[in-house]
Amino acid sequence: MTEPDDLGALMRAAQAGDRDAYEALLHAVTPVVRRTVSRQRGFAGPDAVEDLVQDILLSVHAARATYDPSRPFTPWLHAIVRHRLADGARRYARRESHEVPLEGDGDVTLVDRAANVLPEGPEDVEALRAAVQRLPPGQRQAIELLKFRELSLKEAARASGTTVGALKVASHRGMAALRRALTKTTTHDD
Amino acid sequence: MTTDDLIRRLAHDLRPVDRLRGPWVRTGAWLVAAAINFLVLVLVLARMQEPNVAMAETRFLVEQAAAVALAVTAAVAALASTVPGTSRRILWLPAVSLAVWVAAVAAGIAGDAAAGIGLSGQPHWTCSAAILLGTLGPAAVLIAMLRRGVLLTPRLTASLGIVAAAGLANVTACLFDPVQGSAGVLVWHGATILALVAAAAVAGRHLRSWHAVGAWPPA
Repeated sequence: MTEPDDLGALMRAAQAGDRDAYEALLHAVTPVVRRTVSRQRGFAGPDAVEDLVQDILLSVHAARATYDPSRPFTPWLHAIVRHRLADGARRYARRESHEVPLEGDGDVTLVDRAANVLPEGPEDVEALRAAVQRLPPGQRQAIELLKFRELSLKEAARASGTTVGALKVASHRGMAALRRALTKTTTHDD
Repeated sequence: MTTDDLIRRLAHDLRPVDRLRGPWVRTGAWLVAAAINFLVLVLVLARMQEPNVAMAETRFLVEQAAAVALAVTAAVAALASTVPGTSRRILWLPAVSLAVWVAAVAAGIAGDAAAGIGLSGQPHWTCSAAILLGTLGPAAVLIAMLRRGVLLTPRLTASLGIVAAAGLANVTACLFDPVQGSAGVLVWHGATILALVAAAAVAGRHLRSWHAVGAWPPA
C-alpha cells in the first residue's frame, strides 16, 4: 500500500510533468476514493459509484496545481472527495425532484390520444430519429442536450453557449414540432 | 470509458503545472495591484475634494490600520479557502480584524458624542460611490486569482474577496471623507460594504466551476 508521504511525493513529481508518477498516484488513490464513495453513495448502484470516482479523479487532475507538497496529501484529496460528493448529491437530488416514479408497467393513458401510442418497434425509433434530424439546428441541439443527454438547463446552456431562456423556448418548440411530425406519421400508418 | 482508461489518458496527456503559492504570498501580490489602484484613486479624488481633516488624529489612524488589517486578512482567508484541505481556522482570521475595526469605530462614535458630533441627516452617496469605484479594480484582480484555485465554497470565498477589496476602498474614501464623525463612517461606509458583500454572496455561486481550474479537456 502506498504511504501518504509517497502520495505527496508522487503528486509533486506529477506537478512537474512526470507521467509515470502521476499514473501510479491515480492508481494508488482510486481504491481509497472508490471505498469512500461506496460507503456514502453505495445506494446509487455500481455504475453511479464509478461515475463519481471518475468525476473525482478528473477534479484531482484539474486541481493539481493547488496541492502544496509541504503539506500532507490525504487531507487535500479528502477535501476534493467531500466536495465532489456534495456536488453529486445536489445533482442527484435535482434529478430525482423532477422525476415521478410510475407504478406497474407504466401503462399510463394520457389525454392526448396521439400521445398514447406506445413505441412498437424499431420503426418508431427510426421515425423519432428522422424527426429530430429534420428539426432546425437550435431546436435539435436543445432536444439532444435536454432530453437525450438529460443535462440540466444550466449545464445545457453552458454547453451550447446560449441562455437558459433561449434553450427553454427552443426545447418547447422542438417538442411541439416532434409531436406534430410523429402524429402525422401515426395518422398515415393508421 | 473505464476508470483505468481514464487514468491512462490523464497520465498520457499530463502537462506540468505552475504550483499556486501560499495565500500570504498571493495576498502580497494582490496588495501590489491594489496599491496601484489606491494611488490612482487618491490622485483623482485629490482634485475633487479636500483631504479629511481628521487624518492626523490617532483615532483615525487606528481605524484605517484596522481596515487595512481586515482587508489583508480577508484576502488571505479568501485565497486559502480555494486550496483543498486548508484548515478552516484561517477563515476566522478576518473576524479578529473586523472586531478591532468595529471597536475603533465604536470608540470614535463615543468620542464624537462627547464632542457633540452626531450623525448628520444628509445622505452621502459620494462615499458609497467612492467605495464602489475603489472596490471594482482590486475585486476583479482578486477574483481572477481566486479562480486559479478550487471554489469549494464559492459564496464564502466571493464574500471574503469583496470584504478585502471594499476594506481597502474604505480607506480611500475615508481619506477624502466629507462625512463628519465615526457614526457616518459606520452608517455610510458600513452599509455600502454590507450591500457589496451581500451581492457577492448571491453572485458567488456563479463562480462555481471545477473547470475554472485549468482548461477543459484536462490540460
